[in-house]
Amino acid sequence: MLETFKILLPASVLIVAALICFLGGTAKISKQVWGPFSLLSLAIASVLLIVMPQILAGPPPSPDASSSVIFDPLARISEFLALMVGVLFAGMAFRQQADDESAPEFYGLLLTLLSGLMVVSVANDLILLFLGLELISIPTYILIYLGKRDTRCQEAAAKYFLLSVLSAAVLLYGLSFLYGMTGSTNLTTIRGVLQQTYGVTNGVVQAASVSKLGIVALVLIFAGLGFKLAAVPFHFYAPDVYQGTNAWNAGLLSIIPKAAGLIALIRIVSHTMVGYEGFGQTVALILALVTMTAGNVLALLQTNVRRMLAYSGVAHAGYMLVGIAVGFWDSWNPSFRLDPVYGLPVGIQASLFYLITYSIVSAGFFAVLVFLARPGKEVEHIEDLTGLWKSQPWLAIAAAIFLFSMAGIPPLPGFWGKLALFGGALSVRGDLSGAIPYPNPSFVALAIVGMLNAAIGGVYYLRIIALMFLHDPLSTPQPRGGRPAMAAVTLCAIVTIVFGLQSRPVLTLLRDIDQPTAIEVATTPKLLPLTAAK
Amino acid sequence: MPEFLVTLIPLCPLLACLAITVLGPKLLKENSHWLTILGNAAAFVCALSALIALTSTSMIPQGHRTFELYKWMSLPASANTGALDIAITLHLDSMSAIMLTMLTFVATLVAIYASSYMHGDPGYPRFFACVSLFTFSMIMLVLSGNFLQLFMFWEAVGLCSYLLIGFWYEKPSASAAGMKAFLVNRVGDFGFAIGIFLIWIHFGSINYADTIFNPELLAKVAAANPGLLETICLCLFAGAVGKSAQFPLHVWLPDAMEGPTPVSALIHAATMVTAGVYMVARCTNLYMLAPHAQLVVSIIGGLTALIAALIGLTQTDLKRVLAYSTVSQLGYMFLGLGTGTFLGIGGAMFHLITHAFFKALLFLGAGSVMHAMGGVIDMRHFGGLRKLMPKTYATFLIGSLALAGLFPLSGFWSKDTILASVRMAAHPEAHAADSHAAATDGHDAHGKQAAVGHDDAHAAVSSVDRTNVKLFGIRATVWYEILFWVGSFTAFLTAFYTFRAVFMTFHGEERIPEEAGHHAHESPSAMTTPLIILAIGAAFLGLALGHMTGIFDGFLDKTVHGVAAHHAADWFVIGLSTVAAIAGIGLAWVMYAERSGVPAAIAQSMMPLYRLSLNKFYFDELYYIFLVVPVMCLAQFSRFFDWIGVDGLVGFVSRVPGAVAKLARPIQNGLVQFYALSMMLATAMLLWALLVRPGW
Repeated sequence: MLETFKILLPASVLIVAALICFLGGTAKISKQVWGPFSLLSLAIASVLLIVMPQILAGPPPSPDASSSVIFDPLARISEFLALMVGVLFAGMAFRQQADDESAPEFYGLLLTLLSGLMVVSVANDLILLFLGLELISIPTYILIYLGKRDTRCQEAAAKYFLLSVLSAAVLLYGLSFLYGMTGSTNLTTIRGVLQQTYGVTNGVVQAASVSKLGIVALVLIFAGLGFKLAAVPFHFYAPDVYQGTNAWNAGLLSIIPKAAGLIALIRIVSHTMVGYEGFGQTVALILALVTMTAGNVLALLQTNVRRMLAYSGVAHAGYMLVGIAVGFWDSWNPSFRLDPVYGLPVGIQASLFYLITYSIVSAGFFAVLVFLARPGKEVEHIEDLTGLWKSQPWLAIAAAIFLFSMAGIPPLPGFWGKLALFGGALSVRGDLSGAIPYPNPSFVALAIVGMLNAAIGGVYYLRIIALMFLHDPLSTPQPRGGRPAMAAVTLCAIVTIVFGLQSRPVLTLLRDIDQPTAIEVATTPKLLPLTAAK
Repeated sequence: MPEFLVTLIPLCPLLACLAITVLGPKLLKENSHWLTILGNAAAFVCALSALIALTSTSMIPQGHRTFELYKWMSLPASANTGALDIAITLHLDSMSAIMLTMLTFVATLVAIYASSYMHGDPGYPRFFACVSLFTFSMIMLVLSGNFLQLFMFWEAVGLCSYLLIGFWYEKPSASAAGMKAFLVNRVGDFGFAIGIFLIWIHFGSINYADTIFNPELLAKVAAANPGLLETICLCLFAGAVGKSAQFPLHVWLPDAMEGPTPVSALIHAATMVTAGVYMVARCTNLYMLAPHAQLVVSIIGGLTALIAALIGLTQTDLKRVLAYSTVSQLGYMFLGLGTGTFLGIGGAMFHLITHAFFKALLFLGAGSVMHAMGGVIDMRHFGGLRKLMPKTYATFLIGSLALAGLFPLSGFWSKDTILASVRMAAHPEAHAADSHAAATDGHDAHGKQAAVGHDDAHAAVSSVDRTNVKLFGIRATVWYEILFWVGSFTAFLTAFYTFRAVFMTFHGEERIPEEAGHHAHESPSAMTTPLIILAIGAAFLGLALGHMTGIFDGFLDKTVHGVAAHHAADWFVIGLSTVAAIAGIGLAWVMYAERSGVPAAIAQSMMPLYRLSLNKFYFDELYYIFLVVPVMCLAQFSRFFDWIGVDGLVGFVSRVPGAVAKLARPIQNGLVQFYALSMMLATAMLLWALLVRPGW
């Protein structure tokens, strides 16, 4: 029990800090203190996270049925990601919120949703995990509304609220099936039960033992989390909401829910639902194909920056799903373990790597937009960036770095991420029945479609770069973002370059993320998903 | 110690370059040169320390040191390809240390000179940023420990050269010259890249340590793939031909004189153009197993030396005379490298160093003249400047005597070594006993630990049978005999055209062009001091380090085992080349010391030959008709095809996603109930797909 509190300590720090914000906001304190205060709380949480292994004293306890939280490498990396994104976005908002009446509420909400992401990262229990997701969603509704306070913004907030509630209901419905099947909300227990009941009999996975209830649960969970990821066709809210709110909110929205969705997906499905890898793979494959293609193609037409970035975010979610699909295959078949491609991680690890790099790059580009925004005048049209090179050379260079990374140009991290994802898809050999030695055709198709998409994506990213560098400015921007936003841009640019040139430390960290070996069998599983439901 | 020290060598100019780029235009302005000078000087100090560290066996006992600075990616070996490590590796041995010391020394002097020469130019910071970038790239090229890095910085120095040739880009001839240099180099680099690919395919690595520094592996691969090493060597040599301006790709170097004169001295005389020589010398182990390729190297070198010298006879632009002379001298170096004797390799490397000194000196001297003459460099427009510019005259004279190869100046020692090595290759039987003795000599000198590599290398080398090497049905020895006489004749021509330039510029009655105005004067001391320092080097380097003392060979022997072997002085060569040099100077004196009608009369009597030389053997015109025009036609055709065919197709393909997007766009209709419906429908479809129709 004590362990549980220890693990939740960093998240609790943020919650307490948020409460102080909410309460202190009613007192007559200068609005300027809340920004530094939230940065301080984030710093304390980071320190706690760093020394967490010492706090826990000894090796992290192996997850058992009694523990509703888990502190494994996945949790650690995700929590770090949450804190890093938090620091960036708190910094970006400094100037914007300095003279705003709602500054304390604003920072309180930011801290709350960050703690939500941290809870999702460590949750080993369906209820806690769902709680974490809601801790992210509810502050987001208010933040979107606080953003601009015009009718469009209200519409965006309302849309996001309605669809988010719907998706939460779907997710909860899926989770209830899972609970119904196994009689537990603890992920470790669920995994154990699934492995016993439906998994292996006499060393062979029994096809008939896969329950239809499980399939229903799987699809509903995918649908619910697909909304968080902004996977097609659960993405509809994204363009409207991004466009309706301001750049800061859009940036937050492009990172935090996606991270939460991906981590939750890995926890609930990839690491838990033993025996359903074949179905999970099919769903992930379809979603990945549709998502990246639709995202990229629709982004081509956009002229509004945030709308374009919304579709671009959809496309990136598609790339991440490629890794999830490969990951299912990986855990399905222990005798066909994938080798790391070019020394890069494959499958789930590749997805996480992509998520991390995407978060930095996306935060950086939104920071550029935040920097350029003036009160009541956001950067709306892509052409507002024309000739940025002339007026703000460093900003233009940084923006180009982010866009090049999104487009996947070496040596930036976007390239490594795509290489790892598509390389992983190409290294899938054989089908689920085992013995075919050549590359799996559907994964090859996935990789090819992915690469075509990367090419399509290049068009709209490079178009912005061309506008920034090759044309004369239409007007002189009078940016109001100030030094904090500039610092965020610079930090992101430096981290992007360093990750591109020296990605080894991150990769090594990721390699520690253990993928629980799904089925311990000596022989090749004989299960065919085709015959599963006959 | 050495790792840090060696890392500092490229780091100093790089930092200087970055600082000037960032601070130059606004903050440093006319003070930009300080950073370049400081960076280069610091690099020189480090290079010199590294050189000294190499001489002591206690600090670097194995005589070389390789270390990896940074690894970008690492691909493990697979079934059909070898491993590929993309890394920045620094390799320090005696050969690279010699190059580095020379390079940073000359670069420092040129930077000092340029601070005065470029004074008042609007692009002052840009110039020094480029020079620092060049110094950095060249240092990295020399220090590289794998072929990919070599290639990368090979291109980087090409880029710097392009930027500096076209430094005055408003001048159409300057930007055209920059373009020409870049394009001509592409031809050679194509071969170079193929050579590197071949190495990677067959050796499974691009690191020097696993290829050219591994004689056993070289011998094994050579035995397994007959002819392969010859091909690789020729491909690599193609790159050297481009970079070092050898026939038939020599056409870019004379045009490169459009750049500022300090650039001509640093890049197009002393350092970058010698990269090809350095690369071939670096791959000695490889070339030693490819006697045919070596013969080709020698023939191309000899031919270039002769042709460039012939063209140099009639040029009237002082810098162009020097440019052709550079081409010709580079030809000498390849002539020596291709002989397949250690004497030739040592001679070529030594000639590289001495040439750097006297040719940089000559170019800077020409720049000094040009500076005083208000930008005029045509020798017909001025004369008799020796009283006006005494320091420039004295140093230029020393440089010319060194270039002519007169005893005891440095050019004499290095050129004679090359000629002697060619003669040795022409008469292998006469020297067989000698070289055998040399081999044992070397063995004793190195002691047991160093002798391991030596023995292997020697075994590999001696396993190649050179007696039956033939090209076009002519035996190699005959080729080398011809090349020896070509080289000796070129020595005569060199002395002649060099002193033609000296006499036309500095002797006779004093004539100053109008452009110089009334302030024609000796250059300031920032320009003359580098001249004097270089003149000292040009005068005494050969005496101090050459065969008299054997210091240079002894040091180079740490890398190329066998260079230090003792060879008896070839008095025939010494006599012949001295006679040739004196004859050339004498003839120039007769014809040009006083302005007379003699040259015109001779030109009149040999009109066709004169025109041939004056028009540079019509190489530019030939290339224009046979290469440029067809390429332009092809380009026009391609453009047309591209416009109609490819653009149409691409336009069509690129419109497909857009069209699809337009179709899909109405779905994003902003109605939240529709969005919710689609989400539910999608979920239902997925459920249906998995539950009801699991068959697909």
